[in-house]
Amino acid sequence: VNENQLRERMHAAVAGEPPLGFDPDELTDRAGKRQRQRRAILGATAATLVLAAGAVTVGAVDQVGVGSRPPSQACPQPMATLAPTLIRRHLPLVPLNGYDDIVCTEVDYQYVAPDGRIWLYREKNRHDPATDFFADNKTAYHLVDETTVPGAIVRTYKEPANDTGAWLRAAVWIGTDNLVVWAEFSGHGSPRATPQQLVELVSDPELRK
Amino acid sequence: VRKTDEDRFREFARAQAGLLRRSAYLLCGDWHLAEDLVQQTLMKMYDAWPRIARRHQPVSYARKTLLRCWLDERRRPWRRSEHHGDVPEPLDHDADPARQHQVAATRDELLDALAVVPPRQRAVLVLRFFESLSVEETATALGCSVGTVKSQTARGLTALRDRAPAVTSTKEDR
Repeated sequence: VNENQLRERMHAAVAGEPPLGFDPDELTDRAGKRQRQRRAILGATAATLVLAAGAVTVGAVDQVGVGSRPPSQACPQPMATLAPTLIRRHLPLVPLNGYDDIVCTEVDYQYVAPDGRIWLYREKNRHDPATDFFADNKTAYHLVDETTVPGAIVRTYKEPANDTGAWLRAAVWIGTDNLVVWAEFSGHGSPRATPQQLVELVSDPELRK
Repeated sequence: VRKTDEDRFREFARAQAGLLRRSAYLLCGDWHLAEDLVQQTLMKMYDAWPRIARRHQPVSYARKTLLRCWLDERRRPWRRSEHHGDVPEPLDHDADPARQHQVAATRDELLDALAVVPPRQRAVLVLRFFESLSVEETATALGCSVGTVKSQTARGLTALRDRAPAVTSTKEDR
């Protein structure tokens, strides 16, 4: 048996072939349907991924935007309870019956502007920026100092005596955990609170217990 | 796939399904598996049909795809199990029983002999002696060199001769 005979045997082996068990037309239709289904699934998957990516992006943007901060643990107790102790501890010159001028509050929202400036809002859903921390000369407060303390940055501000003779100093504790404590003190006459005292006040761990 | 492309594919499938199935049968020795392989091949080709029709020879591409489908099929774990007998082919009641028996015996002898030939050598034998491809065309279909096709042919024929001397005792492949 030579190569030609092998060739003949191969052709002979398939000579009595059974009829084709599938219809090429039906197979073509099936292939077309399968391709359309696969494309639909791929399209839906891609759309889902795009939406998920969009949601994640929006979430990330929102985290640096207004309203992202969870309820703060700062100032958990009414200032009226804390104030006498804290004021006595940090602002010994302030009379105990005069601490109404002291405001110690958590800042509800902070917003990091695209240009990197941080804006603080004292009240939820109210767009009245407490201050613009990086444009100190354009706000009511003038940046005096910036102090780095463990876990936070503290900035102190002052406003010179205005027309009524009142003066104001403020300090803001900006925690790396996104918590913010704001304290300000205003009064007449000679200033009875130094920036350093206000820094110590807002840095007091008791405010964040 | 656009309508015109689909029509061309349909035409191709109608024309080539039978030939592909015969090649697949010689490769695997089972008409049912051969049909599965052809359907797999055509389904795969449909997805890439516009590209195949423009850049390739569809028949050559189909042959290559069929071989890959078969080689993949052989790698599947359930194909490694031992083969116990075959489902008998339906008889043609109009044919001469003696002639039918002889045809079946010849076919079984050839398929038994092919079954012991390693897959790629078997593919070379089918392409060269059933589809009458040249050494170069076989090398293209299998994605290997001309020298490999020649050596595989020689080894395949030797394996066939060892297994079933009656089937072939051919001169060395040139």
